[in-house]
Amino acid sequence: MQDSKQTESFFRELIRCYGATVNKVCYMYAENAEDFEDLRQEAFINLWRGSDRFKGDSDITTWIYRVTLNSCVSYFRKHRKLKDTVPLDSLTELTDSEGDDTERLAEVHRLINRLDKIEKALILLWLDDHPYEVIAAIMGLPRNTVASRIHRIKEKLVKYSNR
Amino acid sequence: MDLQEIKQQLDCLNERMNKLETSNEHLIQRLKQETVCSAREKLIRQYRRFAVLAPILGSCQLILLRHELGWGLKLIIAFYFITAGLMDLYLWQGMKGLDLHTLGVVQLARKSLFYRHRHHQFQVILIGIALPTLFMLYLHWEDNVYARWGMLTGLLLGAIAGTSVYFRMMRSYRELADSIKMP
Repeated sequence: MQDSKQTESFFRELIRCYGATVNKVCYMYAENAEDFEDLRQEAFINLWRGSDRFKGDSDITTWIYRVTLNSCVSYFRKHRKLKDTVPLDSLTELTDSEGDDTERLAEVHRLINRLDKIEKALILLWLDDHPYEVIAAIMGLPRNTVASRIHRIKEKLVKYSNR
Repeated sequence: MDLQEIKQQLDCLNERMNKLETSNEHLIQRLKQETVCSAREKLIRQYRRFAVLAPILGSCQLILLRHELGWGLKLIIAFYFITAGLMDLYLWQGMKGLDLHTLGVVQLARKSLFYRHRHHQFQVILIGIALPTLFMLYLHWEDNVYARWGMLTGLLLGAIAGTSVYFRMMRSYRELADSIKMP
């Protein structure tokens, strides 16, 4: 009983402090509002399952990113008909006071969505100011590979945004 | 839009995500009561279910048809269900061993892809065993019109359902496979 209470309190604290990070990653991998909810649920379930096993061997942000990205990258989304889906913009419009910001955000989402799943993971980690060593540990890649791939991804993004 | 602006927008996104109405409390209650599971857990349970069901179904078939079939057909049917059960056992154990909490993103994606690929290969093998078996059963029941029509109906319905699931799976499989290609 004590363990489950500890797991629950750890998980609640985790959502309070890092819920926005999980939501942000899921948002970038989602194509519509339903996908976002599915990915978010998948990530939170996996974080809950690992809550009692997380012993602080690694930085908590590293662990959260690893679990969330693993949940998003290996998730096989349900294929829905376009007419049955709600656009992703509807999620951010609710909290937006200026329409321009929502459009800029949609533009960022479109740009990043042109990358494949692994590239998306790399660039999201880089844009969140994680050092290459941490990105390499999360991705399971050598540091040099991470550096060269991020360099190529940055060039791709600049090229896509100039079109 | 340059990289700096992309970064700024992602920082804004962080703030917006904090403001979103979330159903966290409802999800936490379901997690505590264990009434919700992830898509990965559902897949693992599915493999486990079929690993157990396959030999049971095979045994039931052989018991029910023990007086109707010759030894050749009985052996093929037993071989099919044992093979299907072993394949599901392999996939169950493989997927269960993938730990999202410790494996790197690329490693997990590669292993997920590996097991998806195996799933696809196993399906092809099982279809390769099933079709000639069904054909031999069809010939065996040359005097039993009802059995033949039953088999054909089952085959058609199974093919329709299976084909739709297969193409859905292949679409997702291709999406993940394209992500893993390293130049």
